[in-house]
Amino acid sequence: MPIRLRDREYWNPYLVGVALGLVVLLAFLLTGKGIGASGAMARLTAWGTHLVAPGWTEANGNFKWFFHDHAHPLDYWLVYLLVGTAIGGLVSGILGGRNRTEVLRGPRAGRGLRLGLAFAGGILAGVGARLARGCTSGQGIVGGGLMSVGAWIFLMAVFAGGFAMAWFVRRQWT
Amino acid sequence: MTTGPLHLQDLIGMPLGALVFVAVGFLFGFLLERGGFGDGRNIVAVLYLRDFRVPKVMFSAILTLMAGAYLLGALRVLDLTAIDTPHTWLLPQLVGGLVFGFGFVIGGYCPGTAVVSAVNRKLDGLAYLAGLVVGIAGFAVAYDPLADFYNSTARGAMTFPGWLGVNPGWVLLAAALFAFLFFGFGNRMEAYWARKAAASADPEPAAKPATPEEPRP
Repeated sequence: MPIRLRDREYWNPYLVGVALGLVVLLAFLLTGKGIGASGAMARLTAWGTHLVAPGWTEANGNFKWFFHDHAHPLDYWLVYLLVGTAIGGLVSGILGGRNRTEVLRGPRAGRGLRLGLAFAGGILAGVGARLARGCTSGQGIVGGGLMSVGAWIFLMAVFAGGFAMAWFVRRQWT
Repeated sequence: MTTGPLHLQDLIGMPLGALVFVAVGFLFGFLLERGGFGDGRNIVAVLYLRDFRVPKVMFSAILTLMAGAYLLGALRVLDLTAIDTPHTWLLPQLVGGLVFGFGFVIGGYCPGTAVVSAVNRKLDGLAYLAGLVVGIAGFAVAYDPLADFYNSTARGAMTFPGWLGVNPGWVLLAAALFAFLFFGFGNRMEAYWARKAAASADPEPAAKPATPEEPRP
């Protein structure tokens, strides 16, 4: 299978998975750290609440660690990683001809329904990722690959929760 | 003597050190988009048993990482004790995973894929990210009453080899078996939907069965 950068077809999923695993191994070798997305989103959120309510944010039990020793919440490896993730995704999308304004949804769903459910789903994912201390990248791929028991519990619970809720939102997707 | 990790970010210092992480993130984001995960329809399709890209990518990545870390550790190229294994909190991760899973199928993304979707001007990805920020802020607001549960059932750096007292090779083998069974099931389901699509696209279907064929996992 040829690998082309200007490719309108997606790549073979096994190939993408193996490449992702190699990227994490490379990150381990170079930096001693893996990957993760929700941690950076939490720091962005705390940075935002700090603009509005600095005292509250620095005293909050969940956010105060981001400001420990007068640290800037965005001066952290996960945030730099997220910047790279955005750039990499953008470059791939442009090369693949997939960068255009649209609302991706199933054949039976309207734009309003899709946007509302995307927002609602984001809220739940934010709560879940904070409670589990990570999301599908940091917990799922890195923790799963390092054979962490909690990471596998999280991963299995994500699929269980997804399957349990799938029927109720089928109009959005099928 | 082991050679890795190099801690390159400390060797070259800031701000260049940040670029190492930007570069790793670039590869991560590029691969997520190439895998089809800038489009939530490709992500949730596994929950309707239609398209198994998500488990194929996830489990291939996990197996590669497991085997690679094991190999590099055995060859003493990488000092695995210098890598932080995500710690375990049994109940918070179980409940957090379920809630995250609800959000996954309702919203169509996970945090990393939503970023890749939003930068390619998918408004649903952007709406998901807005919700994510609200959810994270909401969790912080509700943190005090939740703190006891959040910190409950802590097990530290609990891994399967340590917990079961077995060689990591056995865990790798078990994970590979699990993944290959899942891949096999996924391929059969994908073939079923492809046949169904071909049958409905055919203008003169030859001897269509009276009742639609049920999926046989």
